[in-house]
Amino acid sequence: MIMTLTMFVGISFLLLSLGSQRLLSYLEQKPQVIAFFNDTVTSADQIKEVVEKIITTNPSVTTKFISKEEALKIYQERNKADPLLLELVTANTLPASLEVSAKSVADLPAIYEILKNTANVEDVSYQKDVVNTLISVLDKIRKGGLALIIFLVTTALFTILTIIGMKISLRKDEIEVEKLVGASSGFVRGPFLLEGFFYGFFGAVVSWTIIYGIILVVTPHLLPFLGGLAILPVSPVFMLEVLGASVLAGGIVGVIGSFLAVWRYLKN
Amino acid sequence: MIKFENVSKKFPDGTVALEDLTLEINDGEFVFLVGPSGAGKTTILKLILREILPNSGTILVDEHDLKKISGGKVVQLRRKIGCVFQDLKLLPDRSILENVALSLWVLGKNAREVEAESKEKLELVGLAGKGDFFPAQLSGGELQRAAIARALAGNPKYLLADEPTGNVDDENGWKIVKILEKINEDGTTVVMATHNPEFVDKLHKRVVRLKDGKIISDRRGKYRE
Repeated sequence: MIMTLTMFVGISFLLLSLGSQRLLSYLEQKPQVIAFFNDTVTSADQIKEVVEKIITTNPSVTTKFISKEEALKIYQERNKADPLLLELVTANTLPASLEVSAKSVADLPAIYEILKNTANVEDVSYQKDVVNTLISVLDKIRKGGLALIIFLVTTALFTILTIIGMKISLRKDEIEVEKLVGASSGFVRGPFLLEGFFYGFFGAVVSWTIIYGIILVVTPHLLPFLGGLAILPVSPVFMLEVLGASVLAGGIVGVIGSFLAVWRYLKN
Repeated sequence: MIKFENVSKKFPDGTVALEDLTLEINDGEFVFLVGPSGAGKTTILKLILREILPNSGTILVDEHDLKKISGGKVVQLRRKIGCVFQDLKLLPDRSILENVALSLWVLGKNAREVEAESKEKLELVGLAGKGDFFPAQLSGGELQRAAIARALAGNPKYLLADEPTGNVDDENGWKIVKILEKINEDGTTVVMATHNPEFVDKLHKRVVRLKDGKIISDRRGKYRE
């Protein structure tokens, strides 16, 4: 039970942490500053000057000009399931834009300033706050999760130590006979270590099953909100990797717990 | 070969169990350790099995110096020795067959070998049909024989028997002694602690008489001569 709870919390925080990390990477890869031009801008040549200015200030940035036609293509791709929306929009409706990606969030304010003061720019979209908030949330998730996992792993270790310790006491006579008839240390200790491993193993499998079940159930409801963020739907291969890692981690915790019990109660 | 050289054993409560004892038992011998309670018979057997260590002196069992070995060497030593304990140490929640099998599982034998050899040993001690019985379902004599069967599993080089006829009637006691004699004839060294003169006298084997942790006589023959 305690192993299941520990693994449940462990896997949950692992997934939350990985999900947030992925979301952050996604946002960092995405254009972090987007300048939308008015209708007078139709080709990349018209904004050459500002692009050069940005690159001079921040050599590490990448820029991409999206013309009205390209914007329409992107729009059509995103809304291909909704013919009504497709009918309403033409290339003229959409503005041309310049997407600027910086390697560091710290470079964003300068780029923002340059674009904002550029002629023919109607609006500048700026993701600094989103990224900063996400970094802060991710940090809290990691720290809180780590503290909770350390607490639960310690509890699980002591629980396993106690359970295996009790079993060793109950099988004292049998262990004594085994030793006297020539049982090796591995023969006597092996079953207890294996038992500890199985506690961890089953804790991990049960928790993983519950969590994956929850993810599968909620995914259809969350897709409309998070679909574009490359988190959902969760890949089955990724979940299998999580299962493998959880089983390994649970097994190690179980074996360490029972090893401590064996070490404590079967010294001689 | 089992060799005790000037061995002394004193327990923490101050009891002197053995005092400067020197004894040599050759391979293939049948040796009775006789003497009153507290003479040191059980202590000798426990020392051979390395359940306890001497305070001084040297004990050799084949190449093993029992004071110097540990870990895997102790395992090797114990696999050479079968022991019928005074309190039998049969596990009450296991069948007789499972009790015998335990000695074979520890040797790493497979299930088929374990079952075949366990049955063979039970047959040897006359318990062929009682493998599925639990210790609580057997008589005193049968329990002793079951303990002998377990001690013999794995064909040990040495068999130690601590009062194997202690709690049984003469008829059953005699059966047990005959089994031990047969095992000895097949090549196993047998060391039997007893205070029953009748069986000792009939077998006419080497008799080591102990009193207060010392050997007072060591000769072939009868319990008292």
